[in-house]
Amino acid sequence: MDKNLHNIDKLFKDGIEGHTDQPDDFVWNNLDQQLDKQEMHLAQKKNILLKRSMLALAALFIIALILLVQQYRKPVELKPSSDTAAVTNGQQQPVSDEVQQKSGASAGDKKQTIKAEQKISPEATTENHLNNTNDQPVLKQQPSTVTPVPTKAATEPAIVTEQKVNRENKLSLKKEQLQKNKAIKESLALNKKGKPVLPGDETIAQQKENNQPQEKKTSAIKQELIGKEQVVPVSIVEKNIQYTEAAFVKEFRPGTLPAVSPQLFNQSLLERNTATPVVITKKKIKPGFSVAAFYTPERLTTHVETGEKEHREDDKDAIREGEQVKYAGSFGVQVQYRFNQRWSVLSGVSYSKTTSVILPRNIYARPERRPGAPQGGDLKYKLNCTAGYVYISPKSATTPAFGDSIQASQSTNTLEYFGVPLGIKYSYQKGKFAVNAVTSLNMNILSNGKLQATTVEQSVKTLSNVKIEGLKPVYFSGMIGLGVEYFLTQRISVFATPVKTFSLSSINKNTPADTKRGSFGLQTGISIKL
Amino acid sequence: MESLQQLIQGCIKADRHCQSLLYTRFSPSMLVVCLRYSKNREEAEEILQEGFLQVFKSIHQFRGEGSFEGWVRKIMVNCSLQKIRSRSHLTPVYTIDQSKEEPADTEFIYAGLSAKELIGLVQELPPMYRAVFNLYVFEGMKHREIAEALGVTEGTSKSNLSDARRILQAAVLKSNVIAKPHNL
Repeated sequence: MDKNLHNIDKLFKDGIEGHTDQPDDFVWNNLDQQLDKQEMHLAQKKNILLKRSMLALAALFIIALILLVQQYRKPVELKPSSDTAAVTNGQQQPVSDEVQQKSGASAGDKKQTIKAEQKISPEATTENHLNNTNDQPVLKQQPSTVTPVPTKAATEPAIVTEQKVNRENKLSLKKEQLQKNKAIKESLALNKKGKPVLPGDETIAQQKENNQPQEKKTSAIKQELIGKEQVVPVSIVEKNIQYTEAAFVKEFRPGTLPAVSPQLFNQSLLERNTATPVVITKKKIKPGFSVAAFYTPERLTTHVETGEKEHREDDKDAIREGEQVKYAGSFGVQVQYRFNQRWSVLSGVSYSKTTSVILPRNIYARPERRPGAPQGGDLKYKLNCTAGYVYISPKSATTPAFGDSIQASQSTNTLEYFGVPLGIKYSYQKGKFAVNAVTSLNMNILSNGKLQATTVEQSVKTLSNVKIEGLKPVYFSGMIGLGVEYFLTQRISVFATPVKTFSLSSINKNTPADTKRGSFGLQTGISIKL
Repeated sequence: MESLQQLIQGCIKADRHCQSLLYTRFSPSMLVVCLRYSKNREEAEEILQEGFLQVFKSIHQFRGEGSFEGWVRKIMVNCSLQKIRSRSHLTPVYTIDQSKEEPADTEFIYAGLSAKELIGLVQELPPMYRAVFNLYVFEGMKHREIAEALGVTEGTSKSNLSDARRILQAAVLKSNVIAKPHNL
């Protein structure tokens, strides 16, 4: 019995092993469809991955932007000017220089209106006139009221002589002072641009040059006064106020002004100027070229309108739904010319490729219609896609009749373009980071538009590689983007810019589906300043 | 004519043409494998389809160790067993009538049955018996491996095999093709 049982094993093994049986055709057809679905599912997964990575990058970009803005909002520390010269629209009075040289720290001094014009006799030895060990003329501080400066004589005969001399000198000096006041008035006038000239301003040197004759005058006057009197003319520094000669003289007539010390004078000048002078040094960026290499993975969107609908299969919705983008991306070289710190123009060249999968469908025999040949030609199987259409020649011996159909398995459609952009870029740089806003107009030149189709006709499979009809040789598109750039060194930087492109015109004409393409991508690359 | 290696490389790249050629090359032999494990042709073709889907999905995992046909066959067997496991609760209990038709010890059972008829006889077995018989006789697995694959004990595997043999023997005898040896 056991032998028989073992025989059974041998019987079945020998009888069945090596036997083959042909499966029915529908098994492969079902398998084919399942494989298409799997590919679509994979493409969708890739799309989701791409979307998620773009979202993550966009989130990173927003965080970087927030950090940049916060850095920008930090208070700017202003550096006060160390120049404590009397501000007279950029003209420094020579006597004021002397005063400044002798001015020391004057802490705790109260704010005062400084109006002084003081004549001090070099011969005066009283404390009221000389309180400087260097025998330099100084201005003494008086209380707020304007009172005549009392002159004290050492002895009676000397006093009388001095008083006489003083009166005479005063008269002559008055005349000279009027002349000086005129000069001062002119210098008090606003500069050409309507702004008061502050110390540290670039125009001070120029104005010094312009006012040299006046300075020479005053120094000449000084020379004359040496030996007679030392005049310490002090002018009011008042922004946006112009005194007429008479008003000035009336206000500040000689001899009636309180004596003030140079320190107080300078201090008051500083206090009067409400705005602390700021020395602003601008960074000058030289214009120049830079070159960047970039790669942009893209998520393509197609907007399809009804085109030339001739047959039942020329439905734009059916055409669009039966197609799935498998890959979209571009790479290229960008050339940029920077005018200044912020603005630059850019151009370059790029290469873009899009691959789409067309789902299996029935295709029908239609008269071949070429551009420029409106009348129908030979009957061929027409396969539509969003880019255009193709004609596939039948391989069988019999000519198809109008409307005959065959099965087209999954097909692949490939579009390649060369792009030439022309745009502008605005950059804001802070430290090693920069935020860039870009916009450009692109000219897209068709390089390759082909469709690879597999057709099944009478159990015979045929692979066809056919040029897509209806594509325009050139179409225009626009691009906008907002991204970040990080400077590795002064010349080399890396950047990431989310970009949105949109067609300004359709990519095809005289086709069942009038298609406009757009995309959302992340342009990443490296830039080198030349 | 593409070599097997070229076809495999093409299938890894999801080239439909290569997939089609690979299917054409191996589907006839693999269908027979599926027929042995299934109860009818429809089920066998269903298993064949699922099996090839799995083959194309996992083809990048084939490292070239052993024959490719053996690798595909394993996938078909696994798909078949998966089907059997999912339908095992529907299996009717088979009663063997051992009282009749027991051949003599010296008689050789020779069946002029065709492969198709033999496959038909195997398909008539209960699913679990069918699986054990196929795994033992055609795949050359041991009872321990069979028990692990089917989720049963070793003892169950042995008894199932014994029962399967008896059923098949009875079925073969029923077909009345018995030949006596000439030298006896």
